[in-house]
Amino acid sequence: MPVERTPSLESVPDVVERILDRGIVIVDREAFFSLFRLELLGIEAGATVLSCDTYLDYAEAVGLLPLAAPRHVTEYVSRGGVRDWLRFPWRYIRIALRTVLGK
Amino acid sequence: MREQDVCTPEARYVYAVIPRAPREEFGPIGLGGARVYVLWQGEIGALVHDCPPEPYQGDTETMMGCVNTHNGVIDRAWAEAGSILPMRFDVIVRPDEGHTADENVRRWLEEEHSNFKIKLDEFRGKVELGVQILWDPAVIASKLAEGSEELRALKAAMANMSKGTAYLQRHKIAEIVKQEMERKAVRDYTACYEALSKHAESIHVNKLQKHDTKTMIANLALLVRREKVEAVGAALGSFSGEEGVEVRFTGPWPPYTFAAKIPVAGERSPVGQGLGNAG
Repeated sequence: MPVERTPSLESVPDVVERILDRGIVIVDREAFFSLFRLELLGIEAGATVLSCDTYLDYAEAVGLLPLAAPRHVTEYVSRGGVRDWLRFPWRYIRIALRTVLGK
Repeated sequence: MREQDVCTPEARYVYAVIPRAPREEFGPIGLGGARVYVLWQGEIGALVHDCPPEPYQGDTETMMGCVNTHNGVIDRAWAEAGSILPMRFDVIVRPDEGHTADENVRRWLEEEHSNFKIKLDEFRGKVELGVQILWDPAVIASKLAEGSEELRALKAAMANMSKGTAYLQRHKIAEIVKQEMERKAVRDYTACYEALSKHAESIHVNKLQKHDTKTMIANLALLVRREKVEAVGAALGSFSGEEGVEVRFTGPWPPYTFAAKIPVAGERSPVGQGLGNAG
């Protein structure tokens, strides 16, 4: 079964992520403003919250594997790097533990 | 919103760079109903509206409206021009000593002409797609535990243990569950990446987002030929059937993520060596 695609305009968090965090940006030029100030926003869009605080977390969040290198993932794991990549928060582990132990 | 009346609209809000196309007037579809038009330079142009030289700001609701409008303008122009390099929100070009904002926009386009033209040609006929894989951690953990003899044995042994030993055993189980989840995340991520790389011209690995109740294990942006969009959906099908796994598939997007990777002069040259001091 193919996965159904959500049209871009119907997915608010994805619109926000792209427009505020992607796209061409010009810095350090006198004739340009590029003044999107994230701290002015407390955008709460669906389940993804992009406010200043969460953005700071988000910016350093789990993720960022070496680009285009899935075959290096195994290597990455063996170096223990996966913990930096996938820091499962302990609250998930606690939930998981309750499920596993039935308590 | 800003007070348009007290400021002169001498600056230019830039939505995107597009290849030369017949149309150069897009009507009042911009932020605050501003008239959107194109400033051409050679084979490329900048999609702009006139505004005072200050950033757009406001409360969340206002900004969400602005973000949607920005996206809408880019979508319209993308459909019209066939290729586009979207700008991030709130990029504004202002006049400076000896140059109007229009001159500054054109000088920027001139300077980046070949760079932008190459990318516009490259992105023609292609779209960006978003793929995210989200886990319900409790479901994934319990399924891993059910499938693991080691965990079942450790759990069974707890019944005969003293409180203290059982506590330590609990920790041990937690650690094993965590490791199993990490291993599965890497396996699933790798499988997904490899399946998608068959259909994509390029894949960008984005940072994982925080989520209230779920754990994101993959957040990818794909650059694919338009005719391959359905094939990507089909390829994702093999990952979505599993209990506790949600696959989000969004798009087609203008190439926001891939445009962001283009090095532009402002990022290459030090402050003050840009347009402001040139010529």
